[in-house]
Amino acid sequence: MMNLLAQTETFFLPPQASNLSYNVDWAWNTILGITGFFFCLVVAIMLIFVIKYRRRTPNDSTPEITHNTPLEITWTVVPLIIVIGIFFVAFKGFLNYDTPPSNAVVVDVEAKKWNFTFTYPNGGISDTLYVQKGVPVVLNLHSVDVLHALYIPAFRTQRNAIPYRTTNIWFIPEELTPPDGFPVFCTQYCGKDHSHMHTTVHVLDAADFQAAMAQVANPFKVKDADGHEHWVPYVQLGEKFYNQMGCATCHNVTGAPGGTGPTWKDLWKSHVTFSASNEPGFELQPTDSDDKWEKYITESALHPSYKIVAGYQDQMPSFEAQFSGSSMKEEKIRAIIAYIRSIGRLPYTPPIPANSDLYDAQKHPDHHPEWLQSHWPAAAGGTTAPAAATTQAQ
Amino acid sequence: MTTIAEGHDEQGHHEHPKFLAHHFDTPQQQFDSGKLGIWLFLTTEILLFSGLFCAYSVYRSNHPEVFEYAHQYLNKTYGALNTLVLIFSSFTMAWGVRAAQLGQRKLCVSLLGITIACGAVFMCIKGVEYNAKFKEALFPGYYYNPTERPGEVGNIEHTGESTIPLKPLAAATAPDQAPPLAHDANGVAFEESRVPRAAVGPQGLNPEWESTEAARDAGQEIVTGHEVGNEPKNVQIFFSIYFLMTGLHGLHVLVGMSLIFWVLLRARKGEFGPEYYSPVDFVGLYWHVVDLIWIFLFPLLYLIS
Amino acid sequence: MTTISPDLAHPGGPFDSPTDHYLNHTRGFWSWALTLDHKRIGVMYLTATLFFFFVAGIFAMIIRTQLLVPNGVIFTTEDSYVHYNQMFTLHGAIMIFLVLIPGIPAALGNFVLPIMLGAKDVAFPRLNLFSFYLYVSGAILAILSIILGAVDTGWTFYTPYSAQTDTAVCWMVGGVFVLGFSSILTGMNFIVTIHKLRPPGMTWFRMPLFLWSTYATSIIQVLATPVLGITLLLLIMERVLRVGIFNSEYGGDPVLFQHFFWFYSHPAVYIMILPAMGVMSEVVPTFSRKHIFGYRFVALSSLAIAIIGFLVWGHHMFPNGQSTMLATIFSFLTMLVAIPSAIKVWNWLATMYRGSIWLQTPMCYALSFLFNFTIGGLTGIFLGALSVDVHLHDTYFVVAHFHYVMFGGTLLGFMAGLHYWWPKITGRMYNETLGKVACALIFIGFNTTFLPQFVMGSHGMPRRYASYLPYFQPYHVMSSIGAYIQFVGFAMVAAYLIHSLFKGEKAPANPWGSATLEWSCTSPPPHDNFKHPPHVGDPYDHSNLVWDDAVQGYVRDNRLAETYTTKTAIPHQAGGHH
Ligand code: HEA
Ligand code: HEA
Ligand code: CUA
Ligand SMILES: [Cu+2]
Repeated sequence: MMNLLAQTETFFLPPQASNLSYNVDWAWNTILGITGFFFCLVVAIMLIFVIKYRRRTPNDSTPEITHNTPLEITWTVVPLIIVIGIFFVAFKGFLNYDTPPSNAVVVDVEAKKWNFTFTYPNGGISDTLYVQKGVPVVLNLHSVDVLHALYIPAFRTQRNAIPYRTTNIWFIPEELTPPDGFPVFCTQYCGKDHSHMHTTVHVLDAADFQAAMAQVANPFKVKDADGHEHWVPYVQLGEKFYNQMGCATCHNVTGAPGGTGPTWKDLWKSHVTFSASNEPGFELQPTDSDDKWEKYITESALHPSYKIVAGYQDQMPSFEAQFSGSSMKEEKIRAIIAYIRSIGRLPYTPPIPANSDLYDAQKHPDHHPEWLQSHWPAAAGGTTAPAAATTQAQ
Repeated sequence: MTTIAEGHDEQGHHEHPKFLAHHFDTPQQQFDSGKLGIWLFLTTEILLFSGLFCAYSVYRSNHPEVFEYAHQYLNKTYGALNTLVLIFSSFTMAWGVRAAQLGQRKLCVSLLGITIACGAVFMCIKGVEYNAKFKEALFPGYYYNPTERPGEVGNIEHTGESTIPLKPLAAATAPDQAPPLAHDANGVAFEESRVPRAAVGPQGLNPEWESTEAARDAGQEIVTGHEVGNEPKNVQIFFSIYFLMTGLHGLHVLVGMSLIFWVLLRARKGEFGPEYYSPVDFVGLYWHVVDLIWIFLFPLLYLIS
Repeated sequence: MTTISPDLAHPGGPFDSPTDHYLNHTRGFWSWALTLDHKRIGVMYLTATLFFFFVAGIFAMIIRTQLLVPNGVIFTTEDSYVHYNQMFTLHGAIMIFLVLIPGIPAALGNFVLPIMLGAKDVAFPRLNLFSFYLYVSGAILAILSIILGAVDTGWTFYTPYSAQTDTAVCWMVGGVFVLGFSSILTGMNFIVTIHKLRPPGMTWFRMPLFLWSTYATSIIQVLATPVLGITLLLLIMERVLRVGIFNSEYGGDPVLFQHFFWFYSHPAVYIMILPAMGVMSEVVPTFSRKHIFGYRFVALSSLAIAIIGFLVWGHHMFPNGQSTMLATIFSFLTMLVAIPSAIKVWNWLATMYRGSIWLQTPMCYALSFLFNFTIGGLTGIFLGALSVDVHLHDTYFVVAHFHYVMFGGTLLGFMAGLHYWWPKITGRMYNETLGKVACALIFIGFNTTFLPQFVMGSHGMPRRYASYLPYFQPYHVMSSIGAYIQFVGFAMVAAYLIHSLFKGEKAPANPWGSATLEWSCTSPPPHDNFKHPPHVGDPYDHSNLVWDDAVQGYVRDNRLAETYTTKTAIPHQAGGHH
């Protein structure tokens, strides 16, 4: 599956794919040499003595050797000098970890149970990491729940993601990855699915990287295996954001009681009352207009503390930061609304992206309803006709 | 203590006094062992508290504003009174040890009695303080939910002029936003500068505060939630530390009182004299350490400026 | 022991037939349950630790079986992974808190420490019994936690996860808290015993090295464990009262928890290894029939380890959000702590030089210790090296490192000590051939299990993973095979040891020809340890011990003893108390 067998891989170490790896590997090899030597020395001495001085009679007489101070001092001081040397070798490499160049691309990494979400400077979001060969990258790590850590063996770097703090990693990727990418692991134990919290990093050349950036910045579009671009239906997208942005941490979609936040199942056009509100007397009714509901959901995402649903705590963080920087802020929220509607009680016809020519069958010949049905069966939310069948520019 | 040093052997040596365990040769050896043992034990007690003192210093240096703000809730008069009571009890304890050593049975018993009484007074005052805190909902951590500001806690104390800063300090860093990279003159980024202070909690002080503030900023009228305002974030941590430290200390006072009661009973029976008084001596040492810890707690918690 | 009279210095020896000894001195359940005899308390500890070793070993077998295939053999769905997480947590927590920490000091140490010292008991026998019962209560709490929803936090209990998960964390943490107290009290007891109960003639530098290392261990126990106590107490408070000291949800600092935890737990690894080093310092000279080399260096290096060991805890947190400055200091100090360990290794080797090396089972374990502990210690250097640790942190490399030091070091040391003192404790000899075969199986199995883990770790296999990428499978399979071999080895040990209890040959007073005091009383020792006040001599002078075929053991040749005492007459006033 994961192709780790790049050329620089050795018996002990994964491929050297970043600027950090040279120093680490050099320190590794130095230490391996030194400790290997001492290990062999200890074992050799031991074996020789065991054979040479094995017991012949129970009453063998042995010499009275009790101590030899010069010898003691030698084997204290020599290892001391050596370990101090080792310290400096590794210290030098360590300094690299804290000195990112100022022209680095900053990628924001949000760790949560149990995945990573990478947000790029252009607002794009992805769950695998894309970096450009030769361009320094800073990963700003933070966590929304417990401790996690981001570890990229091929880059020889890892660091913990700590709730309410930002830590960072930086590196310059120096090897193009094989198509499968290099593995990225969460190494700080974080609960049940800790072992599933891994993804991949793809080191691309400039052109591929630009393409990848364009693609992640526009989550509305995907490329299929033969290179065709398709527009992703809103419900599908909304579901993706629901998982990716962390809504799933508190809101379930099964209707099960006891969540940190209200369930999304059958939420749309239900009766909602509030324990606190910036608009006195505000309530939501099944009869309220789509507009009012959409406004409310948008506000909940951006300013969750304005209105608190009865029976829940004011705990939700604002998601303004996740949406800002994205040129498609409104569309993204709309996709989430579409998703909430699709799991509502009422039959629902998913809307189409604002740019309606995206779904124009003429311009995108492969974008037929049948295609959608077969590729995205969930697209229609199981309620009505396939998404592409209706056009709606809102 | 000596009782635990008593041995298992029935066939003890004849020349041994009754209180001397079989595996010791001389009373002096037994006394020395007990003394070393009790000192080691006291070391572990101090180390146990040192964990809390460490937590205290870490949070105080990370959030000085919290400590300056929250200590105003504490009642200095009661704190000072308690300090005096404990110091006095240390004195009676020390005198009690002396009395045991000199074989002054009656004196010893009454001094130990006074010491216990002092402990009780201390605990009562602590109880009054705790009770007031509970009334104000000044609970530790998550349950912290004060109903009044320090200056307004009328039934306890007026600190007069409020020294509270007008704008909360820590609220400036919203926890869910990554602070931008900081660079020095050479364009090299620091980790330290990008890391917000430890423990910028989301709940912070008074969850309503932030939301009401935000709503007010947005020009909306506030409907629910009591207003407290002008508090730094994370005041609840002060109360966690306060309750944990004083609570653990209170537990030690109770243990100390029971131990003193136990030696008091033995003293009444006239078990102690010039040859043998180590239980009183060791319990006394324990009591002094408990006092000593309070001597540190008082200024650290009550007298902050 | 009021006076020492060298002319009375008859070793108990084979001629003192051990008809009345500590095992049969009194009878009945209560004579054990309420005993104040350090030997019986030691035996009870030993039974308990061996039992828990078995339990935690079974958890290890479950872990290894699960990891045979990438998606898991036993726990195959995402929801069942939580059970895998419980397995390694229980495995780690039980091994450390219920097996290794009490293993050598409280079990073997309780038994031999006073006898080696020439004392009738530890300073506070009741306290000793009390700490045994604390151990039992802690163990019960830990077992309850298994029943009430096993903990899944990892043995390190890192917040905020441990404050949030809904498994029975409080029980386990409470159990460890109580165990900590047990460990503190044992440490206090030993320190006072060594300070105050040395008989005349037993000067500091005439103490067997096992006592030195136990002494150093006890100091760590007394100074470090209280901090663990308060940390665990705070963690319980965190869960019960949500105080927000460590839980970031309520404004706490998770990194502070790690500092607190490792402030104890790093010294704790030396609590584990030092006593094993003490055993080594007894076994190697005995089976080389030679004086220990560099006594003072070995003795003082124990103290050095204890002291420096307090200053390196941050090396567990290099990539965990600790400042660069702190990381640098901790790394430097970590390098220094390797030196005293190195001193010991060299001195043991030098002790074997021109010796008469007798490959009995204890010595086989001691040689395995040398081999494996060296690997474990040297890989500790990799981890202590800053940049390399950033790559290796929380991978299987760390797992392999600590198994090499804890299993290859402590546990093999424990096995060496167990076999070495078995005749003394039980009065029976075990089957020597089976002993050697089992030792070989354990050695081979152990290395097959954990050598591949270094390789997969350095390739990036993270620890605490219930499933893994197929790339790592060959290493995991090899590792699991090794684990099964170990199981066979240990099962053999259990079988022949239990067999020896009933059918073993009667043990002579001194089967190995060792010069420390416990071998001069009968096997098993009498209730009050010494029939006659012991002769305190050089604990490593084997020259006057000769093999006696009649008793199948060593006896002290009095003519040689005579020469010896005149040669190195003991000044009576030296050391001890007055
Ligand atoms: C018995 C227990 C024990 C012992 C003795 C040690 C001994 C050492 N340990 Fe280990 N360690 C653990 C138990 C132990 N450790 C455990 C349980 C963990 C993981 C905890 C967890 O996360 O779950 C751990 C983790 C651990 C880490 C953290 C890794 C990480 O999580 O990233 C580090 C880093 O510095 C480290 C270093 C060392 C060092 C330098 C020594 C030194 O003391 C070793 C010294 C010995 C020698 C060096 C060998 C002998 C010397 C010679 C033969 C002479 C020649 C040598 C030279 C010239 C160098 N250990
Ligand atoms: C003393 C310490 C100790 C010992 C001896 C062992 C022994 C073993 N350990 Fe353990 N291990 C830890 C301490 C220890 N471990 C710790 C602290 C962790 C970290 C946990 C965490 O991450 O939180 C860990 C984690 C750990 C992992 C990593 C899990 C993960 O990260 O996902 C693995 C995986 O292979 C493993 C395997 C084993 C195996 C196969 C053995 C085998 O060697 C076991 C062999 C033993 C037996 C098979 C028992 C058989 C016994 C009898 C039959 C009776 C014996 C009776 C007499 C001798 C009389 N251990
Ligand atoms: Cu996230 Cu482990
Ligand atoms: Cu360590």
